[in-house]
Amino acid sequence: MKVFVVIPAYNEEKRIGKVLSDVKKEGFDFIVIDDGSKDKTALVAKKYTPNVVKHPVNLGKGAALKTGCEAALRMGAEAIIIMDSDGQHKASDLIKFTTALSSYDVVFGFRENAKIPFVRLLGNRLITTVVSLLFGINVRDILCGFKAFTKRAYQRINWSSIGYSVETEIVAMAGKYKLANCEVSVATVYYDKFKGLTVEQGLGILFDTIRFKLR
Amino acid sequence: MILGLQFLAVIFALLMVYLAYVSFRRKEINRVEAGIWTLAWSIALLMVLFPNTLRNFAETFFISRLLDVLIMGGFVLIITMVAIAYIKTRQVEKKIEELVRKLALKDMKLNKKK
Repeated sequence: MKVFVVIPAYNEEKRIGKVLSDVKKEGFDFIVIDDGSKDKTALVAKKYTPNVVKHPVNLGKGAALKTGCEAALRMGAEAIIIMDSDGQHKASDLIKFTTALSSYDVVFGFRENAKIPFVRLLGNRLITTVVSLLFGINVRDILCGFKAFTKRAYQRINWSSIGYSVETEIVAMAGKYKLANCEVSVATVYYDKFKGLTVEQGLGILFDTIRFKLR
Repeated sequence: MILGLQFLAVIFALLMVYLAYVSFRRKEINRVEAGIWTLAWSIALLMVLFPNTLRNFAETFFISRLLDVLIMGGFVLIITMVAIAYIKTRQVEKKIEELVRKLALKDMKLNKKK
């Protein structure tokens, strides 16, 4: 199975180099989507791969992931793994996803024993409960950005979110279309205390979750 | 005799008619849109100046006060306009997303050829 790693990035010139170097060492094909960064993210990424797609303006994580997945499919991908570019995910976990993809349509990463800030943990639990009630799918860590899916699953999910709601939409649609799924534990490191979702974005995701139900 | 509140409402309605006209002159809205807005504010103006014309309407729906009719009408109008604005924003957002993606993937293809 030809697997591509899709890595969206926004202003990550300091950390993306290490991430790409690690992914390369693991022997995976990968695509970087620079989502309209104002720094040298794209230039740094080009040192590691020619597969760098640049959005002329910043659209959001969901849109960047979609562009990356479309590019991967054009390059013959049969399955796609998505991971963050800020170094919070370990490239050594990629193999867990490829192994699981041979039996499942969608694979969700979950952060085991990670020191997730309290407010974020609370928001995560709330969204997990709402998604579980509305879509009948139980995933431990919906907001984890480390996920994988087959080409068929990607085309079925066909997310519309352009921002951070994409993580929730992928899980919700996997539940709605009853795609075979499993979870794998991933290591996580939070480098920046202030990065990640804000309370406002969390509320936006909750609102979007209801919208997904009406899709 | 025109009450203070009516006076303010008349001034506001006239300003909005003027705004529609200015927007039309700047070609921000077309002739039909300008016409619809002018008509809408003219009706509002008539309702403010001759509130008794609404009394029959209010009685039909068992609403005792004319002010309640105006407030309810205002709410319906605001909710409708917010819904339309939301849908339009989503449509524009979608179009921008598709355009940006198209350009980005086209650039990728060009880079490969180089």
